[in-house]
Amino acid sequence: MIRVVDLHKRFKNLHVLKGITNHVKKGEVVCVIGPSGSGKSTFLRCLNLLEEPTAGKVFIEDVEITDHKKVNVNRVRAEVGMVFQQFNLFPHKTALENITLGPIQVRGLSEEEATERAYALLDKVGLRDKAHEYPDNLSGGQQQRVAIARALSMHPKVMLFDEPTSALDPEMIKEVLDVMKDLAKEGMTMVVVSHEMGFAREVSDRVLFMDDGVIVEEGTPDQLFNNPQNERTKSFLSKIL
Amino acid sequence: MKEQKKAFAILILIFLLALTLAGQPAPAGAAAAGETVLRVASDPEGAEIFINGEPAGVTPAVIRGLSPGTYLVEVAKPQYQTQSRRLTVAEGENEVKFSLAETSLYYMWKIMPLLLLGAVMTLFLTAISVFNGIIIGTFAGMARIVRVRLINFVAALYVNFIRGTPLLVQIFMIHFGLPPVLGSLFADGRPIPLNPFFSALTALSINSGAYVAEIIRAGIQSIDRGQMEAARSLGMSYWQAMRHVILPQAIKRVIPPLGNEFIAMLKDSSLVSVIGMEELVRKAQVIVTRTYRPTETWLGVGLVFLMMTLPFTKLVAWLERRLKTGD
Repeated sequence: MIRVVDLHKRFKNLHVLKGITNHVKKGEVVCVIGPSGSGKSTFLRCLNLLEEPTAGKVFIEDVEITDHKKVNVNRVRAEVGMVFQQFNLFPHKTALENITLGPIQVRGLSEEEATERAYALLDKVGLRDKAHEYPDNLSGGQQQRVAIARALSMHPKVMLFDEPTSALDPEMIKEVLDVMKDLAKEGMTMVVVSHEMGFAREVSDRVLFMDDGVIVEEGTPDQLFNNPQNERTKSFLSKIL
Repeated sequence: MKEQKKAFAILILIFLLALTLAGQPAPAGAAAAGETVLRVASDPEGAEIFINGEPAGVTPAVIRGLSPGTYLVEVAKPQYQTQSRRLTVAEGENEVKFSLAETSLYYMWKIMPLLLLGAVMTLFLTAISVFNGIIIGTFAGMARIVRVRLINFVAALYVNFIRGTPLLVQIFMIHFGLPPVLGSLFADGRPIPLNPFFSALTALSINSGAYVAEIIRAGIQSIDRGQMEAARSLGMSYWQAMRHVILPQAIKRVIPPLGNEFIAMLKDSSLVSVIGMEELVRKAQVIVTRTYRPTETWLGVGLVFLMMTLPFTKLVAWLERRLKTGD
């Protein structure tokens, strides 16, 4: 589904990603963990080209999205849903309008059709009654659920989550994780950058541990959490578990 | 014979009666020996006369029977400044003429229609210029952000040139600098004179555009980066994201500073008076050359400007408060 080959990213003098190679299979849920500044988010943002990789290749369904000549970036992004740490809902639009904007503008759906689908998605995240609320009137957890519904509105092939619960109050984390679990059960391909070790352990098929711009270690949650091989992985896990 | 005399006497009586009723002065040379006649006139007429504080008629008037001596003659007319003069009245004909000046308040009231006429032109010029400025500035502001070097450069050149030079110079460049250029291009070198209205509107619009460009740029850049990223991650193009996500939010933040730009332009537009544009300031200059009353005239101009800017200042403050809560 997603194939990454020797991915590098530099910001001026800062070498953030130092050669990442990995393969995410269809329907797989992959969690990326690691200390802050390790390049997790940058890695994720390279997958929908919010960051332009300095070198290396990214394939989504065997299409090389890093090939500018052949690929329309907007088309690629429409197929890859993204959920942000800060939700980034559009504050001037209602929850419903946040969800219908993409399908109407990008997919060319009629308003009725987009609205119908948006209600279905709001049902899925349990917020049908908040359809006409503006983001400011929603709690953080509700906002993030709307943001997930917004990303799903494009029927993406992959969903990327960039620390989706880090900006939430503890009591709201569960409602967002529950939505993500449901999504995983439905077979959505997901790459999740997260500090939620519980989620990683419970839901993910594979965990990547990143540090200093490289994938230091990867494996099933059981392997990685209970029997880490690398010293850096061990020391990181000992600090957070 | 007797009948004729009688009729003649009645005619004279009626004539005299008519004269007194009309308050017209008696024909000249009416002073008898040892008598005093004082003629009091004023411009405009109709002022009450006081002699040593005692009412003595309304100008123009002929006052008889004063014993020779010195009197304080005072004339008073509503809306005019009261004037007095110490006057020595001698036997025979005496004459005094007062030229009355309007009170400051009445003067300002009288010139107000003219000033307001100028103010309408000022408002009109400002409104059109800021409107044009918003159109120019929206393009120029976006041109400064767009990721195309050449466009950035041209937009920056425009904005910096206009903001870095005095508006007065810009007005001169267009009104006096452009005609020879236009002439050499279109009229075999004969300068094409420009209509002051055209020059004024062009200069003010171009000037306003540069300031609006900075307002628009700041407004767009004040929107969190995450908004653009979220829109792009849905597959929207840069312009789709601009149109549906960034600009609607930026407009709210841009409205109060645009109001301030309008107020600033309202005041700065006074500079086009130098090329003969008949707006508020020019009107006042014309009035002063006629009335020689600069103090009240310019005070009046100031008040008219204040009457225009104050409501807008309040409006901007109100908008700022309202838009802040809805952000």
